[in-house]
Amino acid sequence: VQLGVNPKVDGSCYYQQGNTKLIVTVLGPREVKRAKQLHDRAVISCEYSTSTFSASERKQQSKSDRRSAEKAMLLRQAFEGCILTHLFPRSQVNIFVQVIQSDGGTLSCALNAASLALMNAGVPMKDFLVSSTAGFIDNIPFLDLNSWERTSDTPEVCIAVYPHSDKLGLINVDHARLTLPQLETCMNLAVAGAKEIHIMLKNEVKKYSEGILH
Amino acid sequence: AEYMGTVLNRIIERHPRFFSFQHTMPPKEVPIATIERKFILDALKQGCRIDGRGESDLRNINITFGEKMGTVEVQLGTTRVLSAVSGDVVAPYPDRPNEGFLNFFVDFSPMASPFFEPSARPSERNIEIHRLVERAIKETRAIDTEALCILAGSKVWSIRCDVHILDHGGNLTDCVMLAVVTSLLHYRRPDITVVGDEVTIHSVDDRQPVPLSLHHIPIALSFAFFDDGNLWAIDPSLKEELCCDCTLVYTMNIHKEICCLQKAGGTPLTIQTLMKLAQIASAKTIEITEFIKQKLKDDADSPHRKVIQSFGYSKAKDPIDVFAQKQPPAQ
Repeated sequence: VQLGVNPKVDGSCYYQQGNTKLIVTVLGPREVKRAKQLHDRAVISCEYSTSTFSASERKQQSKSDRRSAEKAMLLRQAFEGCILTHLFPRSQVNIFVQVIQSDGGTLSCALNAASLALMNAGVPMKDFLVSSTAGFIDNIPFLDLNSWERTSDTPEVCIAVYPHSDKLGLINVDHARLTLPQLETCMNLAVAGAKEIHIMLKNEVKKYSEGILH
Repeated sequence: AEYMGTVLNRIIERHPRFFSFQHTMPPKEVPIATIERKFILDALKQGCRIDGRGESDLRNINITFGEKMGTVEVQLGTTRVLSAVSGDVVAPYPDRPNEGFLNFFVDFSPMASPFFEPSARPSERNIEIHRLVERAIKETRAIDTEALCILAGSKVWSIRCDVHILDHGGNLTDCVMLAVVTSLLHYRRPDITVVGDEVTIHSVDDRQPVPLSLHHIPIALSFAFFDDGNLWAIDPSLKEELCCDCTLVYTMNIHKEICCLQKAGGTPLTIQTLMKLAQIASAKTIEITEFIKQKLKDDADSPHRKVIQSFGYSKAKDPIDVFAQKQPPAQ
């Protein structure tokens, strides 16, 4: 993890988990056009963009492509519940995700990176939203699947959890035909994984803050 | 004519004072009135919903089948969705010679709600519903695209499902999913025989058309949360949807498997709440699946359908009523 990689924006973060690498930049809170304003809180907008060289096959994927738009929407809705938007009426916070290398779990990495970037930008949040994925291969639950493991019929559960209250801010189940007990196992595993990530990321933020002071 | 239309629209947009009678922009979505929102929340805190349902009661479902196999209109309370499935034989993509096509198109026309814009770019809600349907059916292999292959490399089925939202009365997700699934079950494609490299597509008169093979039937159920996640209600109506904090959609099938689970919106929820609601959702899914199967069976046995099958046409028995909400059967 590297915080503050882009000095020109309010907040940015380079995040690498295994072979998945991405950069998230945050702009805001800043002014927004009259038409898009909300009178009582800030507007959160999110853009999710995949580079053409990120996957094993070169693919031009536009930002308004359905899958990218869906991921952007999930990120936006997760952060709408996390950022204290009522402190900034009539303004906006923009989150831009750029995936540089994708090797599975990109949504969850984007969520972690966005949390860090929002912290770097100084946007007030309710809690440190962390995310992790878990899946089932041959009826054995696995944590944090990479792209090889995510071949077509593997169910994958992506969750985002508020570590201090153990509540889920985002759940997304993909490619699944999971029975209810399997779902519960997966979710518990992913929450445990997310909490471990939380400890690691908290240390990173502390190191970065200490680095600024010196 | 189309080009002149766009030119005129542009002129009108740029000079609003001269063309003030023309409303090119639809009204912005009006947030629900504070007093109405307070009333709905207070009623929920006391355990009742504004339309008199319990917290785990669905609205009445009514399914009408069109004359053509695969055309279905589903009514969920006041929400109405029309779905039509059609099939065509096409050449597959060269890099995927064994896979057929299964495409969904969800159309949010302004007919459904004055807050839907007639723009070409899909809105967020459009994308959400479209992706949910795709994930529940394509990604869980409810219809295997490899089963749609006729002759590898040269001929495959391209199944297309067009969904039109006719009326937005809340909870579009569930209604769209119901309509799509029912129309896929109702649709019959022409029978084919493959002899070596020769493919014969039999006409409807020669051989009975065959149904598509669905491995499982995914049903979507939405829950709306109020008061920071303390109160929940299944199948929110339009007013409830406008004042809820977040919605949770379970897509399950009759085997108690979760096909797709999506939480949209802010309020954090505990795993215990999720599992509890999953149990309720699975019970409802079984009820709804039985209801759909019964309706399909009734349609197949009805004399009206038999007349269509023998003669190819029939005077429409139950034209789709625009105004009246038909009395639904007991659920």
